[in-house]
Amino acid sequence: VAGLRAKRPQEQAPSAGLTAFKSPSPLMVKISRMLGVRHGHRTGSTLLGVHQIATVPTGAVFWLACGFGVALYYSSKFQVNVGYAMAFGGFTMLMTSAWFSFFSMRGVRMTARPVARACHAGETMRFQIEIEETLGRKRRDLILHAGRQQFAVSVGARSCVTVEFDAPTQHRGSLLAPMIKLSTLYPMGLWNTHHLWTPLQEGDVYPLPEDNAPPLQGLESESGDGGSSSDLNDHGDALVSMRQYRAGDSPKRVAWRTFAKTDGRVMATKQSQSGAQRVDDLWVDEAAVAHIHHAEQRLSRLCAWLHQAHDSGQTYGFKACGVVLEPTSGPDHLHQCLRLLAMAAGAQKIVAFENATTPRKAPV
Amino acid sequence: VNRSSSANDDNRVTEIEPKVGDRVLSVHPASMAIMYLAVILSTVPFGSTVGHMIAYFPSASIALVLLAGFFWFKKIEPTPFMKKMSWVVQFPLIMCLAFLLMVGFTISGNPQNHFGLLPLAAFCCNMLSFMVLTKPAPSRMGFMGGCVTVLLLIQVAVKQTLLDSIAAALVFFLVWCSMASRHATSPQNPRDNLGFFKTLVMSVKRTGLVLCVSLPMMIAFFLLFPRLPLGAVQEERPSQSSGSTGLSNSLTLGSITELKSSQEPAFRAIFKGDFPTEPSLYWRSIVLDKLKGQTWLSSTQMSGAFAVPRTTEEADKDGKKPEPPLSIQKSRGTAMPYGEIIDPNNRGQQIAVLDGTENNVVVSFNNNSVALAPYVDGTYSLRPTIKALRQGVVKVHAIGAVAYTRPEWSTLRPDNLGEFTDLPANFNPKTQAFGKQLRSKLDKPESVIDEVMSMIRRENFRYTLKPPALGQQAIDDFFFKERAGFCEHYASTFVVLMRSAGIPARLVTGYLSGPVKNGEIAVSQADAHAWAEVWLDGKGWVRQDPTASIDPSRVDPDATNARLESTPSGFLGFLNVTWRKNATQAEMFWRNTMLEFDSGTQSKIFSEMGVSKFGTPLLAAAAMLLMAGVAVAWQYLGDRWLRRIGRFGKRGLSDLLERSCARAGIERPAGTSWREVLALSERRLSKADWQELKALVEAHEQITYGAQGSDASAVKELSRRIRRFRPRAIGLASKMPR
Repeated sequence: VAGLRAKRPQEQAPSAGLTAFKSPSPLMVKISRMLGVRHGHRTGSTLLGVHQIATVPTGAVFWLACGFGVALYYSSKFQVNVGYAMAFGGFTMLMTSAWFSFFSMRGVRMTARPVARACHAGETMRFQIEIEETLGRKRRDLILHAGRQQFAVSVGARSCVTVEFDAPTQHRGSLLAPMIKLSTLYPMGLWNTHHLWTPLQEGDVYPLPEDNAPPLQGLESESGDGGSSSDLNDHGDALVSMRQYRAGDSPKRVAWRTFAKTDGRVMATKQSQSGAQRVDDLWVDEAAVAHIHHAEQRLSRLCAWLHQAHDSGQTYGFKACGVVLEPTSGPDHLHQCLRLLAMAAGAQKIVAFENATTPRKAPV
Repeated sequence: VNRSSSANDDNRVTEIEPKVGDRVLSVHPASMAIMYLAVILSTVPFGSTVGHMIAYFPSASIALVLLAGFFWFKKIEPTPFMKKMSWVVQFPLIMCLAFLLMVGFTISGNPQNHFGLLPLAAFCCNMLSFMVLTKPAPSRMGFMGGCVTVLLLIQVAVKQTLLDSIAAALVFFLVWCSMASRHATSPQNPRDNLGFFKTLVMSVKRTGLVLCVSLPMMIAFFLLFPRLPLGAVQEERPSQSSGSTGLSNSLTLGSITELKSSQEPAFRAIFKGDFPTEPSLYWRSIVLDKLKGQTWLSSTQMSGAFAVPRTTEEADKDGKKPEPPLSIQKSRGTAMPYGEIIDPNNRGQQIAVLDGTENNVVVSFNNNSVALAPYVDGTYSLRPTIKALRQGVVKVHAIGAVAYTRPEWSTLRPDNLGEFTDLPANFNPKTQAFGKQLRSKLDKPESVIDEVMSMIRRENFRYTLKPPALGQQAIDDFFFKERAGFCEHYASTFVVLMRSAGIPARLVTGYLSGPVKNGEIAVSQADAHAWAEVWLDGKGWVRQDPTASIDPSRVDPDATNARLESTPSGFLGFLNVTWRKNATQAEMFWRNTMLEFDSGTQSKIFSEMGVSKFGTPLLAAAAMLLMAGVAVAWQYLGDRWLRRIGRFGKRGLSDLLERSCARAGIERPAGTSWREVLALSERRLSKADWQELKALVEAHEQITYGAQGSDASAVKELSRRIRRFRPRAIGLASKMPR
């Protein structure tokens, strides 16, 4: 559990030189759509063609073009043929460098790889983008921008590289890949030729496991402290365990207090020790944390327990959000359980590097 | 596709780590070095006027204060290395700045040119000097590049010889290299800059590549861009204030030695009709008839407008109304009693005209050809060339002004003939006494002339380009003591002798060339010559060349080869004889092709192509639009073409469907079937949209997996249907983040 202690999102360096790449404002997206630039849709892959690539002049182009314009004006005023040649040379070289820039981007395909590993809130999530060359030309000087991170990428002819970047997570739910930018300044550094793309990538963000969580009940009994009451209710009920309410259960046996405490989200049926259910299996049950007021804290506790159960190597079942996951073990099972927690009510779907608000403080 | 990154050496991904307080993509030192070199090279030619800076201090200092305020306001940081670097590096930088500022001051203080090119040059110099001291940013490097371009333009506007143009082109190339190396980072480790020399090589390679590709387009633009019609240029081109080579308005003994050593071409004459067949031709330029101290000057100074309307006869002949003449009000020509200098563009340089030519003369000032009509009432009219060319007149290609002469003027007796025998009393008394003695012995002026000529031939007068130094009374020293000199010595001595003998005489400077071959002749500055003219009653002004009287055995053998063996100044001095010849020919070629290109040449090209009836501007505009269209189409149609030949990724039906669904926020994550997407999207689409999606998915399945295989027309039909499918999200789905 200690190893899983969540890293708090680190403070960003105040002026790290590189400004974070932000996705364009809605107005700019509208304008660029009117201009025929098709970005903004989440897609699994994108092949850069003329509709995808935007060629934007840098400030240097403006000043150089001003210089050439002045040269052209005075050349025509004084009929200076060498001046004409210089001005036209300048303009055509500006244009040609823009073409070179464009051709160094065309035919590059970017593909979003499924997110390999989910993470807990506060950890960083790793996204992977494949950059593939399709036209049989070596591509140099490509730069992939994702948030504050920049990657210099060069791809060989008909080859493929994978770029991995990390995005901080702050809230349970799911994290969507940010809009990323593939750009190049090749060859003259005068044109910022780029493509904006929002990859169709999404990763689950599990709740933050609670620090110093009390041990899970079953684990505790096994570790020698056994024999103590497994009664989760603190009001002396003879019934010792609960299970998910099933149709046909007597209303008398429904744990109404739990129902009320969880705002009606957990409807459990009390079960006697002598009931049909075997108690050999370890169970992580939402009802056990029903007494915790704060919803996220409940999820944190459950998360910590799930990890405890997983680490113990025993089979364990999970009951939460009206779903019962039958006892088994293994990372897939853990993922299923944690995913259930991640998607519980109150989950947030956040685009990476955006809406970055500090996570709510848990009440003390 | 090769998925493993290790298999291909070119595959590389490196994270660029930003250093705090430092931009990774800031300007590379090599780029800065190249740009500073370009700045220095482009501003040095303006430094020739630095000496006058003090007078312009007030206006320049106001500009400085304003600029400093601007930089302070914009919070532009000083160059970081100005603090770190030792004074060894700082000192040249500060000197560079001071130099630039002085140049800027000097030019900006020029009171005559407030809206011309020179204030612009001053602005560029001032801005560049500030850029040297401020922290370089990528866009500011572009600004410096623009300033350097403008300065280069001003230089070529002043002087566009082949060498100057090559120099300007090289500096221009440097600007581009600097641009290309601004962002140079090492491919192995992008967080570090590439090494200095590697960056230089890289930038030269890339600039060369881009230049090679853009060269054809540049040539096309150059040929097609509409030029102003001939003679429409009214603005005075900025001229060089110093260092012009050519005949000057005055003559002092010894000054022509420099001219002799100059290999620069003076002018080229093309005869459209008959051409003179004499073995040697005298091209007259300036008549010097007034002596001031040791210097010969021209007596008549005329200023003001030189243009007159065309004569009515000429207008009647053409059947058109007289055109308003081009007035050259800024011209400061010097009028001669006969022979005229008009210099609208390049003041201080003159051009000679074949002695005794009666035709109209067409002169080209660099590339602005004008025709010079006959002298009427002390003025000349200038008209565009083409008409004059049609009349089949002499065409003189030249830099500079023109002299025009008519034979009948040489017989017009000047009113002030007495002034042509004036000599100051204390001016070379021995020579004057000798002249008077001759006249008293011989009666007729002709016999005096013959006596002097035979004396030069008889006695030990030598012709040399390296004459010994002469004293205060230069002509006395020459005539009685040294007896060695060149045309200038002989001509001026001859004039002094004639005047003291009471014969009206004057000095003429110009060029002495060989015969005309095939109607064409090129005259260089090495052909500069001086001779004399004497007034003989009944004959008018008669040319006398005492230099020609020297016995050939006493001509310095070096002098005959002087044109090629003397060391010219500048670049040509480094070349041997053969290469110097080649360089001169190249210069001529450059002048005739590049500098002569004008609207006339352009319309000739169009008429040869048979499209001249549409008009030059229209054709040029159409051609350039066509080029731009091709350029854009190359990008847009390129995708289609690549897709057609199968080299560009095919956009399949599934891709199209994904794109359509993405509009409504419905995504198909990797590994999901369309059936699953269909099931998930039922509540997120309107009924109609969902039904359509279902139909599309089914059709897609049918085509992709169906037993009968895919039919091309069915695929086309379905892709069209998918393109038309534009679902809209409903309910909560429309508010989901994407």
